[in-house]
Amino acid sequence: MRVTDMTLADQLTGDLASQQATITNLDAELSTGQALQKPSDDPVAVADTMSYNRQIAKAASQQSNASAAQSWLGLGNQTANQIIDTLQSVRTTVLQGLNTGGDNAQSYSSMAEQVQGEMTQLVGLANTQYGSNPIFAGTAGVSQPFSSTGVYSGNSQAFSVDVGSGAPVAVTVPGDQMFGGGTSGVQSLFTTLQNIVTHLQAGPGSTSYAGLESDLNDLDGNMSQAENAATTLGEATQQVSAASTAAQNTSTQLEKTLATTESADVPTVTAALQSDLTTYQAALYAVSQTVPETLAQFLK
Amino acid sequence: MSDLSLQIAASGIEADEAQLDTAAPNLSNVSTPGYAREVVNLADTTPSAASGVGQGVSVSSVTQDSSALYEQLDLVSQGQLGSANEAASVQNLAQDAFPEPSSTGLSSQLSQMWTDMSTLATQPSSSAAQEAVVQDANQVSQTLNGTYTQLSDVAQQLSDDFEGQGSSTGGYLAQANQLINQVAALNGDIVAGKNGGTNVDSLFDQRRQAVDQLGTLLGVRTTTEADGSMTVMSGGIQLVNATNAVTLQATGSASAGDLAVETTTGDVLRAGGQIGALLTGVNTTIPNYQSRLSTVADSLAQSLNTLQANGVSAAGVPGASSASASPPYAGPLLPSIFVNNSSSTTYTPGSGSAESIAVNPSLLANASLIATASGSSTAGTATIDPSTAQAMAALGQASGGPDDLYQSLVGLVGSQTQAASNEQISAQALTDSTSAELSSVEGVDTNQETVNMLSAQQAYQAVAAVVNSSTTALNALLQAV
Repeated sequence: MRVTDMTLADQLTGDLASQQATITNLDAELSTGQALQKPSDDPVAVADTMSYNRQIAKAASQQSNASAAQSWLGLGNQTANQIIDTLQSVRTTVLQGLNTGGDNAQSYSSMAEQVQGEMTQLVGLANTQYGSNPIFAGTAGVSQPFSSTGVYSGNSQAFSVDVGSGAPVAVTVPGDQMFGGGTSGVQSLFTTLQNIVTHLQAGPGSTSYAGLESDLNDLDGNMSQAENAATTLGEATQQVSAASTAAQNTSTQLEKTLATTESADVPTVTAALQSDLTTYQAALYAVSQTVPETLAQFLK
Repeated sequence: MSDLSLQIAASGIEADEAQLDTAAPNLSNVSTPGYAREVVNLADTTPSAASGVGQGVSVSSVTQDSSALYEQLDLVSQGQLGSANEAASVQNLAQDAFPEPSSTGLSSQLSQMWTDMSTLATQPSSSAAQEAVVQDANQVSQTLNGTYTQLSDVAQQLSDDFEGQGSSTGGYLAQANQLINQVAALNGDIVAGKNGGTNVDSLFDQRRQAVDQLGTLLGVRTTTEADGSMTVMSGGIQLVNATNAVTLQATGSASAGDLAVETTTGDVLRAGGQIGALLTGVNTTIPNYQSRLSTVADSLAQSLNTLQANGVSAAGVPGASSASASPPYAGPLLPSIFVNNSSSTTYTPGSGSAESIAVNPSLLANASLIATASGSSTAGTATIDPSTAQAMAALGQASGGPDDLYQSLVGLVGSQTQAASNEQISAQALTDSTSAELSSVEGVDTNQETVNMLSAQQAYQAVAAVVNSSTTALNALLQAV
């Protein structure tokens, strides 16, 4: 094959241009730290990266939902314990009323007052709010689900949070399932308390005093309902914290996979760049040596 | 005798001068594109019958060392390279509208929106969370608009390049017409020159340059006729025949997807080269990306609007579909989340929906009108039921949902851009090799020309010595007389 000046020049410029293109790509990879600058760099890896990013965002969102759920549940657990403690104290008073015998009308009236006070306290606890939302109102958008006499205006649907563990986890116990009444099949705690107050005020001399006996049964029913509700909240807490850990692990795993997909492999890229630069320099040297050399130079 | 030797020497000098005269333009045109080197064809002169002594040398012709085969191969590969270059540049411009993967592209904006919806589900009555979701949706719709518009701008720029709007060079079409006329005019000059017996080699070179440029623009094939004129064909149409040139014009429009090239007599040209690739980009590639982008918008708008219509807001306002439940709700209902444009109140899917999709202005004005509760909630009663907000957040992971559709669109753009750039690399390699072959056959080799020049120079000196010696001999004879 004849090698003409044009052949040589075209060949050399073509080679130099393709080497420069390679070097530019490697430079971009190193300076941004990203192996993928645009979709065409590796369409499959770009699609994977987008998909990983979505899953990471989902895991992050689950974690933040889980911490919101933990706050609901934490407040719920704490309040449930206070309620149970208060009920214990009411129960002690009722037992006292049943066992003291009927001599001191004064002490019965103070027992009634004490229960009345504890009832007010329980209404307050029943209206506990997380943020601006009451935790015992179900999903009803009310601010005070219980009136001062304990009339419930919430609904029977638990508020739930999606923490990524299948179905959303219920993070509240609706008021009727905590305190009875409504559709729960248990008499409302506040009715029980009012009965207790009435019967204690009546004192042992009265006929209605005998009602205190069945009030104790009702109270036990209310207590076991409250304890069940507290157990439900405790179980939900465990479920949420397991989901949160799972989301954390998923996120860590995905971050790792993402890093291997989209980040530049610095040692490899550096080595490739070094070797391309060497080739480029050699090519430049070749051009500088070859192009000017013709016979014409030696004709003086 | 000496008269003869002087004549022979003169023929030698003439031949040597012809060789030097050829070496000079060859060397001057060493880097002229399309230049085919010239070769002096010498022949020795038949000896006269009487003496049997040769009568010297004659320049039988000076010809171009051209190869029709390599020229044709190179021309075809120039057309392919023109097409591949233009296609790659269309793809790259279109790809710029999809800045992925990044933390600012549409896919991260969608993720952000789903995250905020999920947060809203944990606090349905929080006005801050409601506002965040509405603002996210607004940003997503604006990004869809921006991406669509950017693609439209690319298409507009391409059709301007084609038709020459706002261009000093008149665009591809005007360039093609100018080259077609130039080839036809050169055909005329070449035929006339040949008939008149003048050297038309430089006209051949000019015509080749023009045809090469035309090949890059349109993709052409040529045949050279016996009289030296060249017939140029492209896409089934004869562009140049002898001195007859057609004029090309644009037909159709980019917006209708049928922009094309036709002759003034209405024959549509199946163009290759840069123009062919440009038309494919304007008519097919970009509209396809835009309609795929609109399916993303449609999927997003329809699924969110449906959930909105079937849901109830935290304040108890029912959506359009849940309002019919008893008891019927009397007040104004929840507005659609997405609408076709900011002055509409409904959303209808379509291939151009991404261009103007917007968040309903009444929702932007009052973010609490977003449905968060299930449609079974009692209308008119405030609720913190998060069912609808949860269902909205779950769309982010829905298979075949907006994120999936967008992801596969980006995958498509990436693959097609990658393919176009691979095509460009291979077309470049093909053209490099055809032009190397062509320049190897037709090009000028400085060394070869220098050697030719030196040998002509030496021969010239030798012939001059013959003249000198003949003259000396003649002088000696004359003195002796």
